[in-house]
Amino acid sequence: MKLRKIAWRNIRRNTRRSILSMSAVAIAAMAFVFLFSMIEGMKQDVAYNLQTFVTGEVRIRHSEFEKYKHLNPLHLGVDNYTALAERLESMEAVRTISPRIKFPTAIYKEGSTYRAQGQGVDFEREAEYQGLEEYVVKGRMPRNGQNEVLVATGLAKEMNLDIGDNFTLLTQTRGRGMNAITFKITGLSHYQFDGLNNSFFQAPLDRVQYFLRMDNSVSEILIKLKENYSAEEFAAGLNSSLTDWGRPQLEARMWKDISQTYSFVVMADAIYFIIALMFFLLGSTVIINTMMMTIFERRKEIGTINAMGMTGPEIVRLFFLEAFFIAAIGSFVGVLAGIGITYPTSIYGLNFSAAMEGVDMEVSQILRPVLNFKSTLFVFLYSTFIASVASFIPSRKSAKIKPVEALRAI
Amino acid sequence: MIQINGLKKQYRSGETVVQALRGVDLEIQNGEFLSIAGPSGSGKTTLLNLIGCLDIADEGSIHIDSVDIAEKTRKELALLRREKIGFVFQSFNLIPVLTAYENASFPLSLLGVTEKELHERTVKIMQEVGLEEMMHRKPAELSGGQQQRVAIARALIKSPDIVLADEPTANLDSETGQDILDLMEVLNAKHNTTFIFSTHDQMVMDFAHRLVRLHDGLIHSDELTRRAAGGTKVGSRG
Ligand SMILES: Nc1ncnc2c1ncn2[C@@H]1O[C@H](COP(=O)(O)OP(=O)(O)OP(=O)(O)O)[C@@H](O)[C@H]1O
Ligand SMILES: [Mg+2]
Repeated sequence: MKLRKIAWRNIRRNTRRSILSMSAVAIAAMAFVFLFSMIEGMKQDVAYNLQTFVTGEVRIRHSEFEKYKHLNPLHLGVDNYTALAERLESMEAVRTISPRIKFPTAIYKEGSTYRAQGQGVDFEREAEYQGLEEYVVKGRMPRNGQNEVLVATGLAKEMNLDIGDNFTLLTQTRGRGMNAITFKITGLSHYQFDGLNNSFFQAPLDRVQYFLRMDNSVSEILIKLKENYSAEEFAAGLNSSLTDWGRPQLEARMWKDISQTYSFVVMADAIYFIIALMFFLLGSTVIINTMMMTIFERRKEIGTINAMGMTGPEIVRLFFLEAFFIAAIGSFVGVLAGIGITYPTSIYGLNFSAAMEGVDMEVSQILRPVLNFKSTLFVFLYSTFIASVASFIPSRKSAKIKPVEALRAI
Repeated sequence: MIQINGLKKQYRSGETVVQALRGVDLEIQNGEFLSIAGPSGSGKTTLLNLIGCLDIADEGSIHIDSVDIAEKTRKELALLRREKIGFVFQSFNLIPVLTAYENASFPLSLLGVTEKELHERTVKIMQEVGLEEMMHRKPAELSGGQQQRVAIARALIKSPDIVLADEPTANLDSETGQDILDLMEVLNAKHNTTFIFSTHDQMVMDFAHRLVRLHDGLIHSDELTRRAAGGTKVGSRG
């Protein structure tokens, strides 16, 4: 009843001090709305990058491939991939697929050798799977069936190559023989994360198959699913289908099981919860401190209401309510301010290219925080909760004051 | 009825021990209008605090309506004060964030009466203390005398058995102090509430119906004054 009213008026009694307490909580809440949005953005970014460029949502490979990965085991591939691709594409859950051949290679130019990572892709499928068109910064995409190649800007710069130049590479075929092929550069590509911008090129899948003597085989098929389908369940189902289809040597795995990058980001998320706790506690110390001052200053009032028959727990509640209001208002304002700073950055993005240089993770250079209702609400509740619980400590002191002592205070 | 027997209280501050009360016996009937007088340091505040269940005696006992208050917990004492005892303080002690109306209604709201009854009784008591015009002012917007009227309204709103007032007029000029005394006397007669107030002001002592003089923690004299109905001496010590 009246307690709330008194607590509220007490807050407005020393506005400046209350605002100071609120801003301590608000700053912490603001920072964490931003940081949690940042992590959310990072999660989504890493997930997209992994699913699009590295692992798919689900990836099919020969089950032995991983074991001999460092030996470039082209013979451990997905044979007769066209039949499998057709089957996959007719599945309800599948949105799009990407058959790929990855191969290390050496490129010769004017007597020098450059190491590079090649990838054979079906450009028609890749237009959808990677949204590849977007990453072609100069020239055009190669066409399937032609000796054309799309070269990463970093590699082009390193080798001083440009559109129209020829590009001769030498590599080991599936049968461990050596073979050379010349491609013509039709386009330059630039991706949002550095791993794909250096020593990377993509050529038509059919030409790469021919060049590597792969017949109708690819080294992997990446799969993206339609929304609301679980990668984990799909991978499990697919594994039994693969056996049914007479391909027990193939193995489907979901992306989270393949790459650790995502779990690093999730771990960062968990660590942030703990850091947030510390910061909210730190913000709360300002409330605790003001509360202690306030209780000391209001000894006489405490004595008066105690004399009138208000019990200790009721007095504690009065001060606790006051702290709770301060915490809740501070959190609320902080969350609004957090949204205020996060929203524009979520549109323009933040450039981390300097920080990300040389980092071998699938994290983009420009990160966009992603505001989401859940984590924003969480920050509000979390900081309010921590600050109110913390303020319970000084509130309890108010009940310890003896009425006579309280009344003596002038 | 309040029965006080052999009441002793000492304060200890560091090495020095002060004997504030050194064995007080006193019996106060319901509806008395009694003043406790004595020089500074004689133990008036100490005695009122003990009667008001704000502090605990070292020796002796206080029975309020035959209940020994020494047997009660802090919480029970708070609830006893809530129901039976009203306080008026020398420096008014109104809650600064509440209006006059809210200050007066506060003790009654603790007793959980309905909103309607709360409002009716608050308006009535504010009229009785002559402040119905200023109900919505904050204490800072009232004079000392007006604040003390609010404090009296606050003490009386729950119709307590006892009102304890420690030097209620000490911070007021003599004319305003007299008004407050008049008001207390009227309300004492009307509600049959026991009034116990301390003072070292002769005018206030003369106004009481019974006068208990304290000296050095002991009762020095205890007599009915001329203003009491009977006007006879009931006893003296010293
Ligand atoms: N908390 C305390 N600590 C130590 N001594 C105290 C305390 N309270 C009161 N005393 C002492 O006890 C004695 C009685 O004090 P008390 O306040 O009861 O006197 P009083 O009659 O109310 O005086 P006054 O007219 O000045 O208000 C005094 O000597 C006083 O100094
Ligand atoms: Mg005193």
